[in-house]
Amino acid sequence: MPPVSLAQRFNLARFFQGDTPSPAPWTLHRGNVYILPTRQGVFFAVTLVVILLGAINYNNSLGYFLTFLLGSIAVVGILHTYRNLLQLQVRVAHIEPVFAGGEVVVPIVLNNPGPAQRNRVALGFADQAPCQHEIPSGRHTVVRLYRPATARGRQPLGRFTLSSTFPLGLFRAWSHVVPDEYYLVYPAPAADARLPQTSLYMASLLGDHGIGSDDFAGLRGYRSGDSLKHVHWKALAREQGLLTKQFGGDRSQRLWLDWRMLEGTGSETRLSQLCRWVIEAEQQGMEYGLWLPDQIIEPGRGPQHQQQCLQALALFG
Amino acid sequence: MRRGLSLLRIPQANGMLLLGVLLVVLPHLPHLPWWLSLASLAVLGWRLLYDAGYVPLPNRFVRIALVVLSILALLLTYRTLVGREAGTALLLLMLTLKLFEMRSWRDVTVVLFLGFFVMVTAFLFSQSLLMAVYTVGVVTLLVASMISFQYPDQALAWQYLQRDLRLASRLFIQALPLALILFVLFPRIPGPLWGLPDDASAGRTGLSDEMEPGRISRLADFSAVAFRVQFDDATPPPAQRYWRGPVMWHYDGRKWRTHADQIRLPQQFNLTPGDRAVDYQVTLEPHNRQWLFALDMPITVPEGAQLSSEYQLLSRQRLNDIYRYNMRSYTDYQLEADMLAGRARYVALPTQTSPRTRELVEELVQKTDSPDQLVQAVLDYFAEKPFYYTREPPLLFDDPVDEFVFETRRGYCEHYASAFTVMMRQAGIPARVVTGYYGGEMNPLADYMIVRQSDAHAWSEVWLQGRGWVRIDPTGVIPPSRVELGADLAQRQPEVRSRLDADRPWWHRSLRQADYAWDALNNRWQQWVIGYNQARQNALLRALGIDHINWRTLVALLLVTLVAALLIIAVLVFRPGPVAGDRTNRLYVRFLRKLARRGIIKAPAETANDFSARAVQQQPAIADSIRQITQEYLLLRYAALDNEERRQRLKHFARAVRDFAG
Repeated sequence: MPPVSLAQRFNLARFFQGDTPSPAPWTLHRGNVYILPTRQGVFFAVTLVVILLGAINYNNSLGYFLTFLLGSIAVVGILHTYRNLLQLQVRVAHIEPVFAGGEVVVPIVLNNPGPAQRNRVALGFADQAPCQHEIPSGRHTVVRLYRPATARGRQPLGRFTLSSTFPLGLFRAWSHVVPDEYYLVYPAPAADARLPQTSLYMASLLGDHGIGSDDFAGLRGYRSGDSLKHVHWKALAREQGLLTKQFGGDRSQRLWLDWRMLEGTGSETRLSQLCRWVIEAEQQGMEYGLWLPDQIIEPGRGPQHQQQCLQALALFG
Repeated sequence: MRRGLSLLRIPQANGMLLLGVLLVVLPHLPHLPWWLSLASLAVLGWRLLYDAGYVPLPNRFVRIALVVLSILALLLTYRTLVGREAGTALLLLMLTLKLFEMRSWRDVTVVLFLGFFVMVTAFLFSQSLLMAVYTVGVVTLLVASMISFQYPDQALAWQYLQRDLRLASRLFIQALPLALILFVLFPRIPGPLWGLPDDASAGRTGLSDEMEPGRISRLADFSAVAFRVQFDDATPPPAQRYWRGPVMWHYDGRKWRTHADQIRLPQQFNLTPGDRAVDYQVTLEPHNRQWLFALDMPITVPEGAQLSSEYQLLSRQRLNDIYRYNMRSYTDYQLEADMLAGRARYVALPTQTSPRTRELVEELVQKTDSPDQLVQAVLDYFAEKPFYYTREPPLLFDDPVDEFVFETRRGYCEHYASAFTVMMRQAGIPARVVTGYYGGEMNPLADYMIVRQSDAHAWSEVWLQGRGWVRIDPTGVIPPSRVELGADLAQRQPEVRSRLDADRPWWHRSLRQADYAWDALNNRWQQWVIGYNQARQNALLRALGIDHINWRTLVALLLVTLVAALLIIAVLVFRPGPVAGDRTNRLYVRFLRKLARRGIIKAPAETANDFSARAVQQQPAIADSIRQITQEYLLLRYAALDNEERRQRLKHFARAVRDFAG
């Protein structure tokens, strides 16, 4: 258990908001799990006091006993509620980036290293209705939380809360987890899907050195890492050894997506348009590069390239 | 709320709660007005049908009308809404009607807590051992339904029912030590906090402070225990077991009454005891009166008690709690032998009372020489004329004594005591009616005597010059042949009793044995649980060596023991147990050892499946069990099972491994 100083223990901000962001994984321990009666719990206590007064007034021994029994069951219930969260380990799995306006899926892994099943563990972001889960002993559960992706960029994951009122509903134990995790939101793609004119192509900037993929340019010896698609299988069959086919780029299909082409609009609008272009260009199988005031991405294609471009757009500015 | 088509689709939590409420209501049925019993069962049934999806709930107006109507009906029945009976009925009404609007978790909470409340009120009517056991069961069920409400959408299913009941029982067992500590050490505040309603413990006694023979035609036969007695030495013979209670001397022509009278000190009585003292201890059941009972004649007065001028023991407070006191009595005695104080009131009679009897008495006085002889003559009269003892005598209308002595001649102790006392007064002999208990049976399994409400009795006391107050029991002269079998008196006359016993089958006798054992157990229960009070608490602590007890030491002791117990329980709850799956591995290793004995040894790198295939090849005879065990093992290790399924599978797995022939 990480050391928690006395001053920290009684810090109200921790109570309501949790700790400052900390790196994964998080283990729930005595220092960060809180417990308080629920409204039902308070009501239960009041009921017991009334019953006790009745028992005293009528001098009713079994009335005393039943009051004490119910009270004790509630107290033992505190231990069970608390144990239901204690020692749980929490991790956030990989969060896929999304476009602004969409919904981020936050997969949270709850691991139960303890001997008892955890029942009805509620998990949710502060402003959402939590969902409840069982975590059997010695296993883990992946819980998917959702949050709206509003703004572009690298967004802090924010605080989520694990809580439980199991078994009696009289007490609620909870722990705030403030993960030091971020998720990436790409700009929202603009509606206009038309790609810029090819006249904006700037061939002179870069030469082609046989790293394109459209026009056959010749054969060379296989190097490890070459795509199997480009292996000259017929040559192999003729027992000429492993050869790799080389292609030259198709100059006419090469596209530069340039920040400067969108003069006269706000920067977020430009980013949205560029984002749309990246998606379109990738879909049409073009080779495209991205020119931003702070970054130039060489033309290329493929999911990795697209992701690189989108990330640059997301983190711009 | 979900609507299902079959009863089985009731949400489990609702089903359990409804069962719990039904069990809470059941013990109240005997003392509720019939309409309320019917109504509460009907509401429960309705709610059950609603949960099963057959009927809708009544709308708001109907509900409000129901509440108003039933409260009016309660007012009509009880004329009040507070007190033991009416208050309980009101709570029960609230509980059942709340079922009609149980929708949210908040309503459920209200129903649950009202349920606990109504459960406690049942203790105002009975605190028996059975009731306690029953209550513990119901509380566990209600707690289980609280757990079920954590899974609001779960349909009723045996396995979930078991799961929730199991957890509830575990909570109960863990809570029990805390509850016991609280029970023993929680400071007991004596006496009521506010005025006890009059019916707090009404209807618990066979005695009353007035007596009107002929008004009630049937004696309630109830065998509830009035008090228990432990004798230090020998038990007095049956004929001397007269337990003195309320003494009545004021007669208005129909009714005998006790009278609030001055209290006297024992020294003010002229009581000459005989030779043999009887020392004993009485454990009196609460009866909400001040009467204490003692063997005729007590010579000591218990602490907190006093003597009336009729030589009746009275406690200073109403007895709402088990009360235990030590007594010493002399069964032979002379009370006020020389001088009678307040003679006038013991001979007073309304004028014109019982003229026919007066004639008879005058006739008898003519025939006899002394008061002693007159007493005997009157008793002979009862013995010779066809007087019968019955528990169901005819009603008496105009002049009860005349009608009884000359016409009906059927009655129980009150009729005889009343008639005899009136006749004595008509002859100018001071006389009074004494009520109390006559008899008592020894519990052969434990060394104490049980005196029951059905032993309630009335007799007469006459003052004779030189002999003082002499007890005369006119009922006792009725010959056994004229005692109705089955009447309470029959139980007390030894010859009748043996005649009865001879006729009884063996099972009846063993039933009585069981009854004694039960009473012995109940006696313990009464003394240690129901009767646990401040005095007993202090005695217990003194026995533990804690002498100066005030509420502060008590609270400190309570807190210390509670915290200690809670720590122990917490350690048990939080102890790191084996992680699920460990047992699976242990069992699998055991299986491997058994196979190794057959010479098939698993290589460290071999997977369970590969090993199984190899083992099957080498031992085709046991192929099935090898495959099955491997399958179970893999399921337990890698499948996502919930707790219940895991438990079941693990059980199978363990059995398969155990039965596997190594």
